[in-house]
Amino acid sequence: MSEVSQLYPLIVESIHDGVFTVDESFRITSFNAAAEKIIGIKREEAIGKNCHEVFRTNICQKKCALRQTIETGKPAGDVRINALNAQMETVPLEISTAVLKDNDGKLLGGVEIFRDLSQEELLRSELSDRHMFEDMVGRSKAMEEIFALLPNIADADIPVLVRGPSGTGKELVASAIHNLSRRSNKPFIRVNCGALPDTLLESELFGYERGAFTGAMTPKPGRFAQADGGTLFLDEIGDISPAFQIKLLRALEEGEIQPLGSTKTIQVNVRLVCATNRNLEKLVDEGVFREDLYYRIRVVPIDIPALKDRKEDIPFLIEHFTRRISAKLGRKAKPFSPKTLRCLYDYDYPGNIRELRNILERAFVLCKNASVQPHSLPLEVRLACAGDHTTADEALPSTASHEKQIPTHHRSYESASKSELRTVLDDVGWNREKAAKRLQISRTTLWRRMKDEHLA
Amino acid sequence: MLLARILLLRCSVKRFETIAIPTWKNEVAPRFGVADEFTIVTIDSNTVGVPRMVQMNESLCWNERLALLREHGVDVVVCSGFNQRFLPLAQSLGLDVKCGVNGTIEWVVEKYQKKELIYFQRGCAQRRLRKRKGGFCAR
Repeated sequence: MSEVSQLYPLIVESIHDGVFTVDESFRITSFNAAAEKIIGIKREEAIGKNCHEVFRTNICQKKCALRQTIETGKPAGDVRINALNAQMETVPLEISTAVLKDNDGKLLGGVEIFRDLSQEELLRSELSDRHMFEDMVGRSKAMEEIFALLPNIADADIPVLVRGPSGTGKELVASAIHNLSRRSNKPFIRVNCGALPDTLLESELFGYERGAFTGAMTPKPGRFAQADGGTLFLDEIGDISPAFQIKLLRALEEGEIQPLGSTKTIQVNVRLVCATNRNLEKLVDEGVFREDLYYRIRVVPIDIPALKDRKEDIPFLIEHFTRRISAKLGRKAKPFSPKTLRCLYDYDYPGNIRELRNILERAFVLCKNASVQPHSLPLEVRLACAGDHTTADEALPSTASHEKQIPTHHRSYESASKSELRTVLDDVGWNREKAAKRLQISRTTLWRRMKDEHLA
Repeated sequence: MLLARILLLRCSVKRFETIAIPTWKNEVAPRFGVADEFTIVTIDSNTVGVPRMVQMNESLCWNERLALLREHGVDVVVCSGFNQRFLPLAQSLGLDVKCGVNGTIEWVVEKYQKKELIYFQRGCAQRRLRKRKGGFCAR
């Protein structure tokens, strides 16, 4: 028996779950190897400290499981929490706690066993991304309200109007409504009304019969007919002409369509989701958009805010797109330097999430370093950042490397400042030939400038 | 000459700093994101202002917390745990964040004034420094 008990410390050291013990005042008394690995803090650093100073979990202050266990004597199991590791990154954990007593039943403290759930959480978020709200990411209040609203709206089977600036993900909202609705096993058909002239839009939406017009050799079902039983998503609804608005209104009110060149009408059962980046109320006031159609499609309006109005979503969007882009490019995700992140925060994104995604994609392609640096970002993003926190020196040198099409690039680098020179030289590993090429000056001029600035 | 004047102007404008410390049982709270009380103190090299407490609803999200602190004139957040994901958000609001600090509020304020606190920072050099000075906490 004593031989077995001697093995206990070895067993605790060899298991994959983190284990630590505390005394009655919550000072850590032991900390196993797995705990070191999960939290990233050495045993010598952890022992003797208060457990909340080491783990910094979301429940330390109010619902500490270990405290409750020690106070009540009741063990706790499978509690999901999150801690901050040594790099101040969130680590999801599942913990179990128990009381430690000696042979006489005297309280010695408590023990906590924890398991790292990072991989599980990653998989879970991937799955929920795909099946619940597709690519919609957001923790801001506005987005959380939309997420909370979506299941109810989806269930109600009523027309929805999604409003928001271009690039905010209106199509994703429409797609999420369809996926969450009872029509999810039926087709989801998208039509961009702004991309088609009236005549084409009519044949595209309602379909046509053979011989309806020159070249109509075979009959073609329209998008309404294709979406029968499912959802029809009409993007850029604000761009359709008044003449076509009447035809659309009739189709929506009567629930039947008449293909071009046909004498018969077809009954369709379609849920309509429309989207626009235009102010439809204003268009109604101006008489450009029909009031009756407006009230027909705007039964439930959903307003998606611009990205600049929900900047707290940016870290989540960056994480989300980084994962996607690295998978798409087949490359390992590179971390963003703090300066790069600051630039990404400070920029206002007139193109919203679409622009953010493109910026990140570009940064990944251009980045040759271990981490993504500001010079991999477009000039306008760097300049937005330069205005507040960094110097223009940081924004400008890379202009030479990546933004050859931008006229500002034709600035004379004869007058480059010392910090600009240093940044460029650092970037190219102090290779003068490469630095001269990047600055678009001769090697001799670069050498002279380096000597002038005492960089040689 | 111009540079000297600018420096002089900056020195004359910024002589004190207002710091916010998430507080729990008169100690630095373990996590900024869930702290419901903040101690706000204005400090300069000679004096420490009267601390004031700011209550914060637990449900407030990060940008609201940071914006509220900014409204209270806070320049620097001194805390224990601070999710690094939100560091750029704080910086874009003009807040400097010093994390990895533990101890009582009085001790932290005193050490901050004397510039003796050791903060968490990413990178090998800082890791070596932490090791040399005995971990996150300089206590």
